[in-house]
Amino acid sequence: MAVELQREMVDLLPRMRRFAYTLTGSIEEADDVVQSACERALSRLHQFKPGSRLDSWMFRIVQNISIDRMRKKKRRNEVNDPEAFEAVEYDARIHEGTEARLELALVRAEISRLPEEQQMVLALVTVDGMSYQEAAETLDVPIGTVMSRLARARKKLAAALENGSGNAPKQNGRP
Amino acid sequence: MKRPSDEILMAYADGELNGAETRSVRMFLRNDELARRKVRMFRWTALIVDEATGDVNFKVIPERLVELFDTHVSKSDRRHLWWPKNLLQLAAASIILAAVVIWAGVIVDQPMIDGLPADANFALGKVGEASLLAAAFERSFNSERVEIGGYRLVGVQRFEDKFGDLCQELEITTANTAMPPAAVVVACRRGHQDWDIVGALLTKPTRLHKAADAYVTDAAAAREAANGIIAMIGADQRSTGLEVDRQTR
Repeated sequence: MAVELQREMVDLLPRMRRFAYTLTGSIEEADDVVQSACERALSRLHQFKPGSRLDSWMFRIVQNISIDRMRKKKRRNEVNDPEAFEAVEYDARIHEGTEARLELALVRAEISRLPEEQQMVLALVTVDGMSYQEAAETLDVPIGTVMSRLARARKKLAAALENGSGNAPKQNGRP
Repeated sequence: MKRPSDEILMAYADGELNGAETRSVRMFLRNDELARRKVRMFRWTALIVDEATGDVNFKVIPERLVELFDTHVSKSDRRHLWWPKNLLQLAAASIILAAVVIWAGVIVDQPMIDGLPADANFALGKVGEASLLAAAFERSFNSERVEIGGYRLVGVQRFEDKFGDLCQELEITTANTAMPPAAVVVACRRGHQDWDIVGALLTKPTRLHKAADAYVTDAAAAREAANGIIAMIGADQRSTGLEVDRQTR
């Protein structure tokens, strides 16, 4: 049973990495989060309820670890420091070079500015492809909450990107 | 009809509504430009978020993550080992252990392919000239089908690296199934003699050897990662075996 669960966890690694990447905006940090999540899960395999969804369980652990790290960062004024964001954008220009990559970096920066609960639902539904119902079960909230958080997140994102990159749908609605 | 809420418009954009709800929203959208714009906005945000978070190959798993499971599996396996609790059991265990040691002395240094560590099918670096693996590379390079110890080596493609050496990309699969490759290996023939494994990818974490570059979860990820290795060694020419044969004659 434990070995089977571990195999399933290995199969989940790509999804967990992308989920964490959406939350952190950095693949190195995402891998740190996933590593901590796997360590925690492996040490608490006995807490997993047979018959329940392993992906939901793992995503919740990733979510908790990610929130802990985000809060620690915020306490150190790393995330909300406007200069830090400028540095991210500047680095993106220097190292990635292309406008398209810079825009994607801006999108990730805007995602990281969303409230935690909106980031989570965005990561589960829009990135991982869960249905609203599956996301609700994973987050243990009503489906209506998932919908309202997701709609708010996407409206905020669209507004921010409209002001930032200028590529969001405006009058004619085309990107 | 009352204007649908933003949440309903978003659910429509995401394909989350049932047939009747979808028809109802679609009818409303015909005459409401603002609602249509919102639906476009929700679709656009889904696309841009997907694009912004999909620029990394998440299937190529860093070794440090896979090692977590390797370590944990071996630890949990150890917990299930039987341990002698009295003298009689200890004596029996000693006899069994002695037999195992004698047997292991014969087989422990015999990996699946000659010339490699016992826990690996292959390792990065030079392949022993007289090894079974070198012979397998040579035969595979000559488009022969090679099978070793239940594994099949399939030559995928040949190309020249930046030094002008001929290189070969191989997939190692199980011989009797159509399973994804157990490994993808890129080897170059240095000075037209010795084989040098310059890239190695594995698809099974339990077989991960420290000398491998990465663990990949499926054949597509293996292909993508192999392409990365090939780009890194500066291959300026990738060609089929037939073309390489023509060039080298």
